[in-house]
Amino acid sequence: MLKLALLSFLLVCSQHLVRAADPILIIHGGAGTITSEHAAHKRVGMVDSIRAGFQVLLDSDNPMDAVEAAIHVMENSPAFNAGYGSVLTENGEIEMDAIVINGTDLSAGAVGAMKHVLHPISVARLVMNSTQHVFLVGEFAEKFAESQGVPLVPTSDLIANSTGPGGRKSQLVRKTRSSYDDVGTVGAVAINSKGNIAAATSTGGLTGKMEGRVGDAPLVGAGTLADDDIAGISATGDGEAFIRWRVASRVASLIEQGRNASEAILTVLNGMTEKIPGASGGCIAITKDGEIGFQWNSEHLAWAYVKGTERVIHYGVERGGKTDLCNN
Amino acid sequence: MDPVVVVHGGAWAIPDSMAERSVLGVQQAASAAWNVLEAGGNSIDAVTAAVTVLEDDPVFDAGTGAVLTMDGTVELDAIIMEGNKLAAGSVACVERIKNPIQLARKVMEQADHVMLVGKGANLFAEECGIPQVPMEQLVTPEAIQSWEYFKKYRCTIQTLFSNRDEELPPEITEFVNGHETVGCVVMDKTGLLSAGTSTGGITAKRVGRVGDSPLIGCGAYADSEAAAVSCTGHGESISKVCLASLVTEKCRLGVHPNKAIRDSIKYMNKRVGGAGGVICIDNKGNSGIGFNTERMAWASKTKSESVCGLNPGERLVF
Repeated sequence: MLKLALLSFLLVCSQHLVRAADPILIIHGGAGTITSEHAAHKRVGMVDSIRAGFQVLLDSDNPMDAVEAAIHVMENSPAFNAGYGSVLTENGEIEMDAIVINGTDLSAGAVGAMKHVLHPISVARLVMNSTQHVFLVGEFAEKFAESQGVPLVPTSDLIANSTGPGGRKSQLVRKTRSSYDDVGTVGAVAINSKGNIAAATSTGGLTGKMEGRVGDAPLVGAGTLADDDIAGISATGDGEAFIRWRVASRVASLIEQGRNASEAILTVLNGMTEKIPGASGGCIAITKDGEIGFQWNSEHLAWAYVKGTERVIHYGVERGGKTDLCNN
Repeated sequence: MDPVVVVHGGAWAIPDSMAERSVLGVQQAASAAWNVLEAGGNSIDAVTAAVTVLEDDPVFDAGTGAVLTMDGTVELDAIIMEGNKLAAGSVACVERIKNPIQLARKVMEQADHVMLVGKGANLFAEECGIPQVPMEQLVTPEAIQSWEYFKKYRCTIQTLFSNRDEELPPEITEFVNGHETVGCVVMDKTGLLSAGTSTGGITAKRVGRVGDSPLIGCGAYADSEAAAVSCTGHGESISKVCLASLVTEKCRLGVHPNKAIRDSIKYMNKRVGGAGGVICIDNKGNSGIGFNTERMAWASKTKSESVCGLNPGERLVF
C-alpha cells in the first residue's frame, strides 16, 4: 500500500516535471504580399492581440480563453481579414469561417460561410461547447448563434471604413483572385503551464469568392490543428491548396517524426508549391515541448509571439522582426 | 496497373431487415464502377458512377433515402477527389439535389473553390444546369419513421455508432433506418486513384451540420502516390482525427491498407471515442476494408474476383 502511494506520488511528480512549462502565445495575421502601409497597421494590431491574449493566459492558464481573446482583438481590427474588415464575396456579402480546437481531447468547433457576427471565433467555440457537432455552416450557424444569445449585426457593420486591407476601398467586389487585400486571415496557438494546447483560426476568406465557399481555416487538419501529444498549428495562404495538401496535418506529422517546427512548416509549404504551382502561404506552431515555429514561402507573414519567461513580444511581417515590451 | 474497385454502403448496426438489400446495393455499385472502367473511363468516372448508383438506391443514407434533419428536411453532403493533381470538390448541406456526388464533381472541375456549402452550393448547381428535384422525391417512408423515433439526437449517435462490443437493445437496431453513408475508391489502369463519399448525415442532426463526409482528409482523400480512402461512421469523431488522412499517410509509409485502417480506427476510438469503417486502395493496388461497428456493407472487384461482406471477417464471392 505504502509502495503504491509512493509510486503514484513519484508518478505525479514526474508528470509535473515533464509538463511544467512556460505559457506561450503565438499569432499570425495573414500571409502574402503585405505593403509597408498595411504592415504598420498589422504590427499594431498584433501587439495588441498578443497583450490581450497573454494577459488571459497568465490569469487563467486556459489556452482556449487566450486564443479566443487574441483573435477577438484581430477580429475587431480592420487591419485583418476577419470579423470587422473582412473581404467581400462576389455578391458583396461578408461570409466568415472560424474554428477552435482543444488539443487535450481534440474537441473542436467550427463555422463556415457565416454572416452577421463580429466574432465568428466565439460562435465556433459555442459549437464546440454547446452542440453534438463540430461544424455548422451558413444561415444555420447564424440561427444557432442567435439561439445562444450572440448579437447579430448587419453586414454594413462589418465593412471597414478605413483604407486598410479590409477597408471599403479594397472591399470593392472584384473577380480577381490572390489579391493582397485577402491577406489577413488571423490565427493563434497557445500552450499553458501544464502543456495543454489550443489553436484557433478566423477569416473572411477570399475577395470575390462564391457564395457558400469554405476555405481551409475551419477545416481540422487543413488550416488548423491542435493535439497535446504533438503540436498546435494555424495556417494561412491559398485556402484551396491548403485543403488539398492538408497543410496542418502534414506539419503535425513531420513534428511528430521529430523535425524542428519551423523546418517542418517550410518543408510542407514548399512541397505544396511544388505539387500545386502558384500556391503559397505561412504557418505558426507550438510543439508539445514548447518549441515555437513560424515560417512562410509567400512574400510575407504577419507573425508575433510571447514566451512566459521572456515577457517580450517578438513580431514582424518579415524574418527577424522587432521586439516590444510585454507590459503584462 | 490492374484496376481495383472498392465500395462501401456505411458502417453501423445494420439491421437484418436491411442486410440483404445493402449487400445487393454495394454489389451493383461495384459492378457499375467496373463497367465504366471496362468502357475506357478513368477512376473519377468510375467513382462517380458507383456513388450515383448508391445515391439512387433508397436503402442507403445518401441521395434518395437520405435521413432527415431535426427540422424534417434533407441536407446532403458529398465529396470527390482525384489523386494525380489532388483536385477535389465537395458540397455540404445542399438541398433538392438527386446526386450530390455529381455536383461535387462539378465543383472540382468548374469552380475556383474546393468546398461550397448551403445555398451557395445550390446556386452553383443551378449555374451548372444540375436540376433541383422536390424534396419529397428524396424522402422515403423509412426515413420519416426513423426521424420520428430519433428526434432526440443523442439517442441516435449512441445507438448507431456504438462499438460492436457494446450490447444494444435489439428493438432499436431493428427499427432504425440510418447511416448508410456511401463511398467508393478506385484505381484505374493508369494508376490514378480516386475517392468519393456521399451522405445524408445523421438522423435528426441539427440543420446546417456538416459531418466528416465532405471534408477533405476526413470523409475521403486520394493521392496517387499514397492511397485513396473513403470513411463512414460517427462523423464528428472522424473529423477530429482526420481519419482518411491518417490512413493515407500510413499507406504512404508502406503499411498495408488493412493494417493502416485497423490501426487508424483503433487510434480514433482511443483518442476521441466513436466508431466507423474505412475502405482503401494503396498505390500498389492493394485494397483494405475495416470497421469496428457491428457491420459494414462493402464490395470489391478486380480482374480476378468479385467479393463482398457485411459482418466482421466475412468475405463472400458474388
